Amino acid sequence: MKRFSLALVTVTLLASIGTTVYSHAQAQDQIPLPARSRADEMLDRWNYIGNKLVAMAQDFPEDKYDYKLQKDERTFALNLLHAAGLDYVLMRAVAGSNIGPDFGEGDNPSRDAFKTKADVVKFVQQAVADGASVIRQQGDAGLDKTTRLGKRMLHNSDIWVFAIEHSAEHYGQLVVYYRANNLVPPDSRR
Amino acid sequence: MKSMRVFFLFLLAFLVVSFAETVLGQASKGGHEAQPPQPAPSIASAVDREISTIEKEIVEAAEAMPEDRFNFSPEALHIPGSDYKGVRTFALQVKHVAASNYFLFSSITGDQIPEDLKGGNGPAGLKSKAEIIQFLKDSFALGHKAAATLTTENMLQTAEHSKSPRLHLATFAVAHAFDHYGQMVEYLRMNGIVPPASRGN
Repeated sequence: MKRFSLALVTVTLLASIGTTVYSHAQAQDQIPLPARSRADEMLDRWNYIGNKLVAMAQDFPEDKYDYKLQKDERTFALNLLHAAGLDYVLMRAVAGSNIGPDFGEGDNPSRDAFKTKADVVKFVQQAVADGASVIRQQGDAGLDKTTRLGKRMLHNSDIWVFAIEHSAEHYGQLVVYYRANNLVPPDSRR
Repeated sequence: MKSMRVFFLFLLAFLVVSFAETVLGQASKGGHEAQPPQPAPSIASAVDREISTIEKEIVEAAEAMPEDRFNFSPEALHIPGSDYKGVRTFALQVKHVAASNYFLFSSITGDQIPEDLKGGNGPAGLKSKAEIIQFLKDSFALGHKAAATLTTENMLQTAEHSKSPRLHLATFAVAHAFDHYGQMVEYLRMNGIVPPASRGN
């Protein structure tokens, strides 16, 4: 996140210096950017947080996979399995099909079903890839459809955003797990 | 007459098969029931709702931390084998979320960033819990203002003061806040405090 702060400061400084020049240049030579769809935006957000979780899953030492900071919390591995598990619950509802591996009921896959680090990494990678595939296939039209989740009918765009936000929250928790183990999260090393 | 009877039998069979195909087709769509057409929420209201969700969680989390522990850092716990040197304190997490909100949402609204907002950790002068929480709330107020400007026409256009599309700025602000909310949750639990959003569980 230090990188993000630096980027913000840099962007702000550049923006204040460059706004006038940029406005002139824009007025004289306005080249339209290629149009992006809402599905493209959603896909970017999905892959951004998904790949951050994958990087953590790949990077964290296997002998610390069952580490947790406090007794009433999920372990490192169970955080990842939960994030990916909920992704599957949501994307299956949106897609209307039973995508991905069978991990039982609910959104807390058991460690028994994903015993090794390789198993967990594969599951998280697959969840990110499968979700991306659904977003890409359904496009903007898919985002506008509604899906029943429990008793509620929700717009698919809301469901995807919820999944992304949920992953971001668990990513934040794992950042603290990283530092508790004298490790720097992969995204903070660059 | 016989040919008429055969014709009607064929017609009946055709209708039965067509009806069955329709019903079975709908039933086989993996839990997708017939969806009553619903008006899509506007982009402004959808983004506004996301902002409200994280605003509630993060403000309540900030309020849950006692003032005398507002500058808590995990570094102080000296957890064996850990390295929390230089990480943000709880107060700085809150201020960072608020400052980032200002940077991101003001790119959409065109509002001036507060003069004392020098960097990603917010104004150095804000010290008390009440001041910091007010700064956080004000940043989300700007978020609601930004959300209200979003339309289907402009959401994918680059914001005037940024290289990113408006929708991207707004949704990134929310996801970024959730990332830090996740860290705040851990800080609360390190102090024996169950985050308000988890108390019902």
